Amino acid sequence: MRRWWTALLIAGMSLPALAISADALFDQVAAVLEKAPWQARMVGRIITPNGDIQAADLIVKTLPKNEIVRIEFQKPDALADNYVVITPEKVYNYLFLTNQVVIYPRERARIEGLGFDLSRMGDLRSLGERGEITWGAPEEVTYKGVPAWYVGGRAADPDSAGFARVEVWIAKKPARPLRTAFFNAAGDTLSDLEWTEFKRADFGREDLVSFPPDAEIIEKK
Amino acid sequence: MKKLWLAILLLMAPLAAAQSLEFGIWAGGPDLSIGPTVNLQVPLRDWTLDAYLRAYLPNAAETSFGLGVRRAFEAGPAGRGELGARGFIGMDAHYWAEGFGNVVLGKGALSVRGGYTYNRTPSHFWPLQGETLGPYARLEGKYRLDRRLTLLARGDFHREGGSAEAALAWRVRRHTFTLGAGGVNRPSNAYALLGCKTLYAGAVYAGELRLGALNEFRFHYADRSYKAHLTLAYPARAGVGLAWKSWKLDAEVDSAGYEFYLRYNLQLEEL
Repeated sequence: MRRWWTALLIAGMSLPALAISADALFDQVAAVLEKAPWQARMVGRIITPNGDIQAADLIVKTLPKNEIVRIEFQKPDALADNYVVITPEKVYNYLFLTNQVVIYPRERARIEGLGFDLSRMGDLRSLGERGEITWGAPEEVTYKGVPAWYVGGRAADPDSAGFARVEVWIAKKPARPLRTAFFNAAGDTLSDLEWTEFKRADFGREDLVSFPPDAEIIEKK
Repeated sequence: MKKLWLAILLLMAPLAAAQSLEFGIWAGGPDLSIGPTVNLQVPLRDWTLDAYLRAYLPNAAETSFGLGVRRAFEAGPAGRGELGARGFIGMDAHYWAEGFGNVVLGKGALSVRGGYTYNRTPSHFWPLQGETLGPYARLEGKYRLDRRLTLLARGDFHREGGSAEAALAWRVRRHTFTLGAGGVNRPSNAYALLGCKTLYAGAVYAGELRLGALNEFRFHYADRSYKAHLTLAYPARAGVGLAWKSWKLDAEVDSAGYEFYLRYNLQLEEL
């Protein structure tokens, strides 16, 4: 009986410690992702402009201090070797086949062309802060053997958000995304990507905002 | 005619507030001629308007004025397209008109250009017209079989003939090798194409050799500071070009004469 009470007491004490809000969880994720440059491979499925779901394989490189993200496409085949560089001022689209770099002012650019805006995946915290998503309570799960949190969210306005529902799996330590999945109102997958090969990197601005020297530059005003 | 040009230029002047102006000086021979040139480019979101003025001395009748319009269609990392047209008219009423379209989407790219020229201009650089009189068309296509192999094809057609070429390019790490064949519109018309492009120490080196009915060697170099190209051909023809910062310099010489073209691009919003 004494043992049972002790167990119950410990369990009761530990409950508040286990509970965490989605905002606090995304703060932890942001702290990890914004701490230093990193690189991750994202593998899964993504919708194409014509509505087909295709295998996706992306390498994402970021320089948090300068707010620079570089997304290199390995798959689908139609996008392979193209890449996008997002900086606070400009967005650069590199097209391998024509060896062109199209540069847009950041405020005008939409990272489109996939049937889904990739740039919306990155900062889950700000999506909640702006009221675009209402997050549910995080649930403890094990994702492929890794202790993790699962969080689901719904877009307040699916038309403006570009998606209706999002599901996220986040590793407990260090707190970083393991998988992000976005769905439309009909429940169809827009993007479902596993974050693999996450590692710290020693990038500089020149490494991420770089293009073949013989590329044609097209600057949009 | 002069009054009309002046009125058009004055109408376009307010548009120049945040655009680019390219100033050029062209010179060619064997009898020395000089041609100052101006190109005003006015981008309005996905539209771009161009106005061209090319003076020509001492034969001022060759002076010409041109207008162009382009519309771009952007699809982010998936690709882009462009449709446009431009036309020139000279003081001696010679004219040239051209329409063009380019698209790159996923694994394919296609570029089509067609036009009509009323007469030849003395320069290969300006206004970059078709090489012959009458109608002409140029096509270029690329298709990626996979991440290593790309099919290439191009052709140009005009009243006096044309040429066509097909090639396969394969990529091995930082190197791209090209092997192909083509033909021109004359007896024994075939030629072979060999090409290699490589990235070394942050610079791109590319060479192309065509041998047979067409004998030509082209070399391109590019690094972060400048781009250069060289063309050597037989029957004797040579061309060189250099582009750095806002400057471009091109020169060409063949058995008929020589020409130089120096250009400077001024971004007006930076003033």
